[in-house]
Amino acid sequence: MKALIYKEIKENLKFWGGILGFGILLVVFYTIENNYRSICNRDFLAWTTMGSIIAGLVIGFLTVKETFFKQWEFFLHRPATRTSLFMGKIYGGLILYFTVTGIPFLLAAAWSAIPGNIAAPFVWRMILPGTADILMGTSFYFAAVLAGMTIARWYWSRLTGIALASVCAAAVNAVPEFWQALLAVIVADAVLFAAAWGSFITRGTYKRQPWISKTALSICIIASLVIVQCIAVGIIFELAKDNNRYRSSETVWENYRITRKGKIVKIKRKSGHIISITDMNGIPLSIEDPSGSSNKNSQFIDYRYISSRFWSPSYREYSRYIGTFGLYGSNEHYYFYLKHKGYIAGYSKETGHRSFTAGPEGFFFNGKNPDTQFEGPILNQPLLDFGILTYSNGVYTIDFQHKEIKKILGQAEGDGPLLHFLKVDANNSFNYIGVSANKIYVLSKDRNLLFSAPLKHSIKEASIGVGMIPPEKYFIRYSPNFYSNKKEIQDCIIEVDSEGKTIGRYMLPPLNINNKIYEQKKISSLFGIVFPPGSVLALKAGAEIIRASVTDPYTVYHFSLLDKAIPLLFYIVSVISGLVCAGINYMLSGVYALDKKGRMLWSVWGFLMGITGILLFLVLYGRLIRFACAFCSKKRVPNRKQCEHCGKEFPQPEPKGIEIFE
Amino acid sequence: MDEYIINANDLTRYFGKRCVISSLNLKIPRGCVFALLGRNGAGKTTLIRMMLGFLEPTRGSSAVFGCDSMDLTPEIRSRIGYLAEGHNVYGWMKIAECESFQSSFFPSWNHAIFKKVISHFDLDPSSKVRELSRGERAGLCIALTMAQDPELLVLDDPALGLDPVARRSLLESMVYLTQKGEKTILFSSHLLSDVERVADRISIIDKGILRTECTLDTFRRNISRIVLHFSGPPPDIGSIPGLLHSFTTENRITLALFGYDENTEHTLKKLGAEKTEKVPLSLEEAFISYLREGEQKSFFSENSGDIS
Repeated sequence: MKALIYKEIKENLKFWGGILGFGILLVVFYTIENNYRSICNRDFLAWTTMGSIIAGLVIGFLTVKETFFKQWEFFLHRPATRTSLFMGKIYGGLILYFTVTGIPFLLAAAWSAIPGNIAAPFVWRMILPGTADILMGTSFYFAAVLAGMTIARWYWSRLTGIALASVCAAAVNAVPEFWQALLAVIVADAVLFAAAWGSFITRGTYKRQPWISKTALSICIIASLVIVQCIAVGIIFELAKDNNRYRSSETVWENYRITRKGKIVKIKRKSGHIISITDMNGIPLSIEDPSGSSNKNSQFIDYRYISSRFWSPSYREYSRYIGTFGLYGSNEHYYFYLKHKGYIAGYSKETGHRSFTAGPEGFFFNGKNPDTQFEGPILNQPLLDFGILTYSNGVYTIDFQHKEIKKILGQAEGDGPLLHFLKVDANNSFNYIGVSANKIYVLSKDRNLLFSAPLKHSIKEASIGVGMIPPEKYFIRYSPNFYSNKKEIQDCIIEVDSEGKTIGRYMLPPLNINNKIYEQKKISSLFGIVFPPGSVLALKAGAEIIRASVTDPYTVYHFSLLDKAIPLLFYIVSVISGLVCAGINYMLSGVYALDKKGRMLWSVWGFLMGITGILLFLVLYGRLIRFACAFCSKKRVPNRKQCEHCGKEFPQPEPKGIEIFE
Repeated sequence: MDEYIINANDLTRYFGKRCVISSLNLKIPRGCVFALLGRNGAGKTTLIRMMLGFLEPTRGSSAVFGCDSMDLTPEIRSRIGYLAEGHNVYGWMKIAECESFQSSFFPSWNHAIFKKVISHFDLDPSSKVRELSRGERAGLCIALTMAQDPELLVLDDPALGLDPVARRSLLESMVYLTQKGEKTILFSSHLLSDVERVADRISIIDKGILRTECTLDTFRRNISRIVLHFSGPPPDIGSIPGLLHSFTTENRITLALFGYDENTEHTLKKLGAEKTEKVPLSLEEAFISYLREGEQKSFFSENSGDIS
């Protein structure tokens, strides 16, 4: 094994050196060209992603290059199991891969970690995205090994492993957590490793492979077929989509608004224009609203809604580790919020070193850190640009110019922790709104409390909007959350005074909302042809799992609408398509002379997977050759000793009469 | 101990629609030098590859040392030395590295044999493989195979690229290896003078079909060349039992015959030749005659009009 690993490494030394050199050049380019950068930067991560994919593919092909240079038999004929030969190659390949990708990446990380090189703080967890990319590249490595070993029926069938690796790359980029990326890599690597191993020990033939590698290879092929299927469905969908439906001039939209005098009215719009304004009793009002709601001459005040969605940056985003005050960076400094430390730090653009720190008690210079820290996780990640830091126990504003920190809102007595604090632009007047589980707080642009009032519903259950006619009239609107399952909430507006006391309660009748985005269309039933019963079951099961596990009401809402959008005819078409494909697979497996059990299994597979099931059969079983049986004249396969029709054996070659056997 | 080292049963292989080996049955006895003969594309290399488990048969099976060829264990492989056609070794390695790499796998590696063979080919251990000539590379491959000290040596066209001196050395080493009767050699070759020197048994494959499997003497005994001299133009030969091919010149007919016996002799007498001459055949001549069965003319005589 050692000799094999040594041979693999030495054999590919020049490629190794080339890729390593290229990687180091990239790092040099990155360090010289970019001052304010980090290894968690999206541009840099694009390099680690592409670099890992290319390195994985190149080294994977190098690993099995004997198959292309006719050295395969020389390599295989030695007293070692094919599994141990495979493992020797894989160890050598992976050592090579991790060296060429890991060394430049670690150099970049080490360079970023040395104070003064980059005018930004460094957190070791920032290496997680790059590490995920490098680990993801191993999927491409195994995919390339598989491609090198596969005997292809069609050219693309060699690339099936790369399709699965691409799915893994997409997952690594899309998932929010590092452990999820790691899981995606482990799953993809396990499948690709098993498929590559099976292909290696049988030199690419399918029939003799162990069941585990047969299954893995099938998964790879299915992944590639599903990708092709999805692209095809996407194209068909785009072609069939009725875009005009969304721009229909017949669509009427209704809403409740509040006039500047505090009167609640119902407005109907068509094609963006107001067609009627009535009071709550439906009596028309003669209100002219010349230029839309956002105009300062508008007759109506705006509600400012508080989002019920909580975003958490993914492990690939810089803001996951460090908060930035982008707009608050001065000519001399960049400002950061160090989440892991709980304080703020300013870095000199000139020297790259830390100039000051800041905590709840003020600013500190000359390398001193704050005595106390901001407590708990920061709640308003996207709002650092406004110089506001929100925690569950209070809200702070930071003035970097005058080096001042001020607590503008604390947790009120008897109230729970703060959930939200945001800056809103209402009628060209900036205000701040804070929300706890039980109360709402509204601050003026000078950050003085205008009013606070108890909440009727939590922001997780209802949409909450605030309308203001300072100094004495405030309106809180509760509407059913579009995405929430709590349907008993009725649309209403509560009017409060500056003391937070309720002075009016207005129940709003349900609006006629034209919401036909998920309208059932019979033509969409045709998609049942490319969505066989297995896919429908998988989609349904997936949707149920997501519905059960995801707390985000937006996602839950859309999955529930999806059900309504699918007409019954779709399911019927899907089942018919499945039955047709089952029949085709039954016939095909008969032509390929499979036994009864095999024919039944492939028929079931055809029913569940439809066209994908047929293609999988054709890819796995290769090109069929048949000859006329000498006895029954029917076409028979050559790999069976007996004819599958008449049971007679192949006749021995006809003697010429000059044979000599002794 | 099993009498037969290799046992092929109904071995068949298709490449696409082309049948390269057709229902081949073959047994190779222990301790013999067995030559595999046939024209280019006859299926010799395919047969060897199937026997050593590098190529899956379409139908049938074969066993080496009693073990199915497709499942040869490391222990069995250590008993087989294989020299593949084309002498493909790693070009980037030095000769010494090649030995070091190979020896780490083979438990009974014999450095003395390796050294002896490469010195015979005048190879410098520090030379890179890619810098060697075709013959030198063949010599290195022979050294790498022989040094494994195997019980069964499978050589696929080992003399390809060797000069006469090296070829002679190869033959000598083959004879040396089989002296004690413990080693078995299976080799394919187009150089029939070499085969004649060392082989105990031969088999001839013609278009994927095994036509002959016997000792050299038996083969030679079965193929005869008869020259019939006539005073005038030769008559039409008609149907002659066992006729492989014939060649007619001005007053003479040369016949290659399979299984020359009294019946054939009687038929030939009827042709009225002035003189009948039986010419002794070398293996090469017998082989050529055998494989040209059914041909009435040579390639050039057939196409002489085009050539002129």
